[in-house]
Order: sequence, then structure tokens, then C-alpha cells
Amino acid sequence: MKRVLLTLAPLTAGLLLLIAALWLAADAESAQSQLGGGYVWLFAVAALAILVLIGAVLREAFALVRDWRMRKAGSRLNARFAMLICLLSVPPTLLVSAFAMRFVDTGIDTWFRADVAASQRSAEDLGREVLGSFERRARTIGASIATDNQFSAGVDPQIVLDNLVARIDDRVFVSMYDESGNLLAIGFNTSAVVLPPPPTDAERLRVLEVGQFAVSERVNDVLVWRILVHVAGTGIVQTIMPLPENVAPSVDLLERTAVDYAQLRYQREAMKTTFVLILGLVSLLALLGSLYTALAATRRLIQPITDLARATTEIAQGRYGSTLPVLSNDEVGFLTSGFNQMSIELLAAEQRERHSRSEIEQSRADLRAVLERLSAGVISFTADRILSANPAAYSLLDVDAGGNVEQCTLAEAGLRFPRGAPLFRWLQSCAAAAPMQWREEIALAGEPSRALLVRGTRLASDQDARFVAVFDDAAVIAHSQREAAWAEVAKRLAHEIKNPLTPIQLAAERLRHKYLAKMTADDAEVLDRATNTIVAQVDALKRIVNAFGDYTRPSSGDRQRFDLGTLLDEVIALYEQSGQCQFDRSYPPEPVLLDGQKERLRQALVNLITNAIEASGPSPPARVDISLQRGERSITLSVRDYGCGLPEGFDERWFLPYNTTKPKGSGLGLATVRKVAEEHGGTVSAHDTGIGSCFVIVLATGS
Amino acid sequence: MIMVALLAACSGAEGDATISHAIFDPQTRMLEADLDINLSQIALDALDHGIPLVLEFDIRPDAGPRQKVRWELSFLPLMRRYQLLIDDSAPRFFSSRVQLLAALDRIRILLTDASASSGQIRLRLDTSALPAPMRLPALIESGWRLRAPAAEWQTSR
Repeated sequence: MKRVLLTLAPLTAGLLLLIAALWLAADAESAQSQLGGGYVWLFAVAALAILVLIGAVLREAFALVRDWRMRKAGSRLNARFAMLICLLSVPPTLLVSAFAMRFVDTGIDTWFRADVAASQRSAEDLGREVLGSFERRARTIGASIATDNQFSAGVDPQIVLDNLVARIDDRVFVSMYDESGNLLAIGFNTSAVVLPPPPTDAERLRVLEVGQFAVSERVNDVLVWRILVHVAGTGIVQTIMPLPENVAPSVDLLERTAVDYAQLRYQREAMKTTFVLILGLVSLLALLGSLYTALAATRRLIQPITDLARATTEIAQGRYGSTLPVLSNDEVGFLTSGFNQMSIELLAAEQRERHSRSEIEQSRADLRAVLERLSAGVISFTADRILSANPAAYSLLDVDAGGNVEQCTLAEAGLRFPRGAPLFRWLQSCAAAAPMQWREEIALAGEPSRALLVRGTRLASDQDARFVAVFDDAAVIAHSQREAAWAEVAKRLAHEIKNPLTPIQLAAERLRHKYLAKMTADDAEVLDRATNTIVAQVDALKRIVNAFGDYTRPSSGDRQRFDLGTLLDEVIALYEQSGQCQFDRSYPPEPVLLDGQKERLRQALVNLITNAIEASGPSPPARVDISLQRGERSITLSVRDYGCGLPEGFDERWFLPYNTTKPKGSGLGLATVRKVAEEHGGTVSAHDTGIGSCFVIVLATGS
Repeated sequence: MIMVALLAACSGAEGDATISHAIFDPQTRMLEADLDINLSQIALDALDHGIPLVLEFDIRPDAGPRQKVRWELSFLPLMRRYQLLIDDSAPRFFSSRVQLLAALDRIRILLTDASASSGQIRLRLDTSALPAPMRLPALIESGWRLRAPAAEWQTSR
């Protein structure tokens, strides 16, 4: 509403001013005033319109200056355009106004040239001379009528007047009155005058006083001379002589011309003032209109460009997607439409780029996680420097904590970390030769001796040749290969052995059941002992085969989220029911959730608790402490017993198959625990506590 | 230039007029009053240069219709005589301006309605009757302002 008002006000003011100026101009040209008392109101409206226009111009000018100072987009262009239009419009307006005023000033003066004025004066003098001679003649005739001696001879005045009028060539209307003003007689020879009024009291008194006097006046719109003469003893004779018909029109015209010219001469300055005022109003309207147009219209004209500049600035600042309304169908509209399309496409491209960057970041994070968990060492490098190395690489090269090879040259890395020097030298030679792939077994310098099996490849790159080397402990690889082979053998062996065990056990029990009662006491004793031995050994074989099965069972990969504390309670409950063991639990109050294979972990816990109970000796009840701790990225589960402690020389090898101190042990219990821990990204370790031992499983939980 | 014209136009003394002893005779329907009128110098100059001056009497009876009467004063350059024209009646001629103004000392106006017993009479110089080019300057020129305050008139007893 306010904006509409601000837009309409200057236009209305300009229109009012124009109407006022035109009205004044029209009124100044007309003979009769059309405005009357409305002049004041018209001037008030014009003054108000001028004030509104000045206000509008100032408002636009202030807005322009403010935008300029604030360095708003488009303000400079706006100012330049406004200045240009002002230069194009204001000087011509002022020039035309000045010329018009000058023309009025000099033009009006030329109407009153000296020769015209002199001619007019001469004509007036001539006219006055004619009128004067006519007046003298009128006076003569009037006097001759009044002094005729027939009036004193007692003749009827009417007869005397008739005779006198008949003798006069000029047109006259003669009337005779007594001294009281009563009409006595009339005589006339013209119809131009119809019974004029009698002399007034003042005229009668005057003529009685001076004897004779003449006045010129208009009677029935005819210029006449009236001569009053006092005739002693008779009365007053009034002689009226109209101008001759051949002179009257010229005299009338001359009189009108004289009046008009006198008025014109007197109005000269007034005319100048009037025209200057009207011209001033029109000039002011044109000037203010030009300024307002230059300021307001320019701003509106380049508004789309201003908007485009502002939107471009936003895009330059990274705020994509802003669009502008397309308000016209011209080149500016086409430009705006193109800008909108560009902005939308930029936004889409920016979103695609952000999505791609996010995917790359995710891929990098995944790769970093994989490399951190990879047991093999991985080093990426160029001919100049090492780009990255994963934790396993540092571990395999026995680099101390805090050591860093990244951004080092291969030669520098060899100097800083001498143990890995053979590897770095060899990588250097590979970088120089740049083969596509290579494989080598390299022995590290120093003790303990370790050989690394290194495989490398050159990465496709347009710029620097990049390489990646993957290496592992050759002994571990060999061990893994052996273990894998052993597991395969064990799995097949267990399968082949487990199938006949049950028929053997059933057959032995059937033999015993069928023949034991029929035999002699000696034979029966032998059979009983033999079948018991068979059944017991078959059970032992089953346990061993089951242990093989547990150890060689492949990870199902079917993980679920569960509370580790609940799982521990379930396992502990089995042993508590037998009464052979007392458990001391230490769990966090909240659930310890883990994504893992619940049954595999249950098997590992059973193995550890069984070992703890067996290590506590035959005097029940055994005491086992079980604790659960939640770390930032791991869960630590410890099982502590108060038994005989770890066997002498206990080390990592005890977590390999076939290591046991138990007479009937399979040697797969701890191996299974380690395998389950590794399947969950964790580790297992053991240490003596002074009174007994403690086995600790650390399971990775991720972030 | 406009400012100069305006400043020049605003100078000059105003004329003044006073109406007094206004009496109305219902029988003759004649309203008579004394008029003391002093035209400004600019108005007198204009009159001497042939510009007709119109005096407008505004008669407002307390009851009855309003009536306006116009007296036109003019100068005839050819005959060098002044003329007083009252509405449609015959003009009166005066050989000098003094005589013309003296004729204004006593005004006699025939009213159209005789029913009102009292009322007011006003007088003003009608600038809208001036020749066209002079109307605009007359609006801002103080010498053209002439008004007689309202005078009460009564019926004669």
C-alpha cells in the first residue's frame, strides 16, 4: 500500500501541476475568467503538487546516495544512468524555459512598437478633433435655436421648434422645458434619438446658473451631444445631436481600439508576469519530472540488472539456487531466465559434487578402517616419498610408537628406521624400475629375524607413478597356511571318525548287555572292563572330534546384537546349578551390547570357565571372578581363577592347537577361544595374577 | 525570474472601503448607504489606463434570496471621460476621476425582494473581471485587494 502510494503520489502531483498550468494558460487567454475565486485553490494545489514532486525527487536522490555509500549491487550503474538521463533532459528543459521566458519578455514588448503607439495617439487626436468640431457645431446649433427671437414673440413653442428643425440640415432632437422641468415642446428630424430623459435637477440648476453647457453621452447606444441653453422668460432648450451616421461607426471603432490599446499597454508587465508564472510552473514540472524520471525510472529500469548483480554475488559466495522472477519478455527477461537456469544447474552440480565428496570421504574412511584392521602391512609411495602406511606396517617393521614414515623419502625412512631399511631400499628400486607388479621375500635387518613377503603393484595415474606395497610376516603366512591345512585335515578327519563312533559305542553296550549275564564271572569281568573301556574311549574320541568340529567350524557371519552380560549369566547358571563353582561378577549397570555371533562367544566362554574350574583343583567349590568393562571402542571380558596359575613357559603358542597340560585335553580349547576372539576383531591374552591366572578377551565394537 | 516577479507583485498598499448608514426603504425597494472607498494606487492607475474596475455589492437579507449588484468603473481614452455602468442601466459619464469617485459616496441599489427588514451588505473589488493577463498578478498583488466589511442594513421607519 505504501509503495503504491509512493509511486502514485509523484504521478498525481505531476498530473495536477500540468492541469493547473494548462488551466491557467487557458484562463489567461480567455476574455472571461473561468476560474473566478478558484485561483487560490488552483495555486494551492499547484504548490502542493510541487512540494510532493520535490519530496519524491529528494527521496529518490537520498535512496541513490545511500545505496551508493553502502555499495549495494547495481547502485553505481543506477547512478550512472540517472546522471546520464539528467544530463540529457535537464539542460534542454532549462534551455527551452529560458528561451521561452526571454521570448515572452521581448515578444510582448514588440507588440507595443513606437510607431504603433504613435499611430494610435494620432488616431485618437484626430478622433478627438472630429468630436471637438462636432461639439462646437452642436453648441452653435443649440445656441442658435435657443436664441431665435420667435420664442420671445409669443408664438407657440411647438410651432417655433418645428420651423427651426425643418431649417437645420443636421440631425437634431430638440425639446423645450419650463424652468421647473416640464416639457413644453419637441421637434426632431432624426429617429436615432427617441424621447430623451428631461434634464436632471442638477443640470437645470447648472444651466440656470451658467446659461449654457454641453455634455456628450450615449443615448440608446448612440453617442450624442446634449446642449442645454437657458432662454430667459421661456425655459430651457435641450438640443441633442447624434453623431453623423457616416462618422459614428468610425468613432465607435476608434474608441474601442483606444480602450483596448490603453489596456494592452497597461497590461504589458502583467502579461509578462502571467506568462512567466505559467511558464515557470510548466518548467518546474518539466524539471522535476525529468529529475524524478531520471532517478525513479532509471532505478526501476535497471532493477532487473541490480537483482541479477545481487544474485550473482550470492552465487559467487556459494549460495546456489537463488532465482529471480522473469518480469519481461525482452532481452532482460531472457537474461534473467538464463541466469535462473544456470543457478539451478549450479545448485544441482553442487549437490552432486557434495554427494560425490561424501561418498569419497566414506570410501576413504572405509579404506582407512580396513587398512587399520588389516594384519598385512600396506605402504603407498611414489618415487619421491612415502604417502601412507597402515598400523600393521609399523608393527611388522618394529617401528616404535610415535614413529612416522609418511611424507618421508624412501631413503630417509631407511635411515630413520634401520630395521626396515632393506624393504625401503627395495621399494626404492621398484619405484625407479616401475614394473606393473612384483613379489619378493625380504629379510629385515637386525634381531629378531623376520622375513617379509612383499607384493607390489603400480597404480594407474596420469601424473606421478604411484605404487602400493603389501607385505606380511612370512612366518605367519606359513603358519596360517599350515593351520588352514591342518584345519582342513581335522575337519575331514573328524567327519570320518565321528560317523562310526556312535555305532561302535552302541555295539559295545549291546555286547555287554547281551552276553554279560551269560558269561562266567571271569569272562564277565573281562567283557565288562573291555566294553567300559570302549565306551569311555569312544566318549573321549567324541569330545576330541567335537572340539575339532568347534575349532574348524567356519564363521557363519550371522551376527546379532545382544547383551554380553546376559550371555555370561546364562553360561554361569549352568555351572552354578552343579554347585562346583562360585562366581564373583562385576558388570556395568547398563547392558553391554555387542554385534556378534552369540553361540560362538558362548562356546569361548564355556572353554575359559571350564579351564578356570579345572585349574582350581579338585577341592570344590572353585572361585572364579568374571568382569566386564565397556571401553571407548572395545569390550574387555576377563575370567580370573584362584588355581595353580599358568604353566611354566606359557606364551602365544599356548593359543595354538595341540597345546595342553590336561591328560585328556584336546589342546583346542584356547585355540578355539583365540579364533572366536579374532572372528570378532578382538584378541585374547593371559597373565599370572600371583594367585591363579587371568584370561582377558578384548572385543572390538567399532565407534 | 519567477521569484522576482512574485516579489514585485506582492508589493504595494491595499485599498480600503467602508459601508455605513445603510437604510432600506421597502416601498421603493431602494437600499441606500454611505460608501467611503479608497482605491489603491495600482487600481487607480489601471482605471486611468482603461482597465475597467468592477465593484461587486453582495446583499444578504436575513430572509430572502441573496443578491449581487455589479458597478463597473471605466475610462474612455478617446473622450477622456470616466464612465459608471450599473448593471444594465444607462452609463453615467464623468469628466474627472474625482467626480466619478464622488458619485460612489452615496450608493442606491434596487433590491429584487422587499420582504426582508434587515440584512448585510458587503463590497469587494472583483479581480476575476479584470482582463485575462491581469488576473494572475492580481491574485498575488496586494494593491488589488479591496473589501468592505459587512455592514448591517435596517428598514427605514
